[in-house]
Amino acid sequence: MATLTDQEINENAYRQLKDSIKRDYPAGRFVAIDGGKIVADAATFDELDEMLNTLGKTSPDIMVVEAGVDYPEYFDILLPSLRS
Amino acid sequence: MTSRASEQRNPYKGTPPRAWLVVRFKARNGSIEELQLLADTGSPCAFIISNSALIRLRRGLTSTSQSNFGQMRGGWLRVEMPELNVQRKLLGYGNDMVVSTAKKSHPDFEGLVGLPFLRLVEYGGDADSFWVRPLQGSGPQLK
Repeated sequence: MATLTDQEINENAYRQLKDSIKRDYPAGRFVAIDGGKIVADAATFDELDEMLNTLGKTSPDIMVVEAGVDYPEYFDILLPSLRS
Repeated sequence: MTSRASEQRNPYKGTPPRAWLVVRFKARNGSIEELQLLADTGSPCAFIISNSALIRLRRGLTSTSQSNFGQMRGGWLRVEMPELNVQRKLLGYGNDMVVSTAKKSHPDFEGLVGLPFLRLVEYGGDADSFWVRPLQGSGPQLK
């Protein structure tokens, strides 16, 4: 069985936690997910960063999401002239 | 690139000529990296850069999205441009196909800068160049 990377673990966790983050955290709150679970939250990204540093969590694979924001699942990048 | 006070003004570059900007990012280790990015006001993403640049510069992950150029890996990027009153984290995406397509216009281009960044500044263009400057009356944009 293939081993999931930290990034995949955190992405999968986010998909599962998405609704509860929306329900349990005020809009605009920054929430960090590491090891598949929520490890910290703060009013600003910088505060969250400081908190994560204090906890010794400095991996760039930690997922950070803003409560209340629906991250798009699909983008149309236009640039038709660039594609040709 | 020329600077008048805190304006960044760049003559169009590439074939066909494209508007572009130098955007400065601060990596988690404190190092600063500048990327030349093609300016695309139609892009819904603040930045689309190569996957390797995203890994180097990202301060945290966000969810992965899909696009007509394939998978877009998301990450938080710290923009460090105090001269434009922009020092904040913005969502960026990694997609090598977008970068290689931008490079067809000019090999210096390392991706796209889109509307979520451009709306934080005042931007414009004339027959010769494209420029950005701080929003009138804006203070530092920190988030």
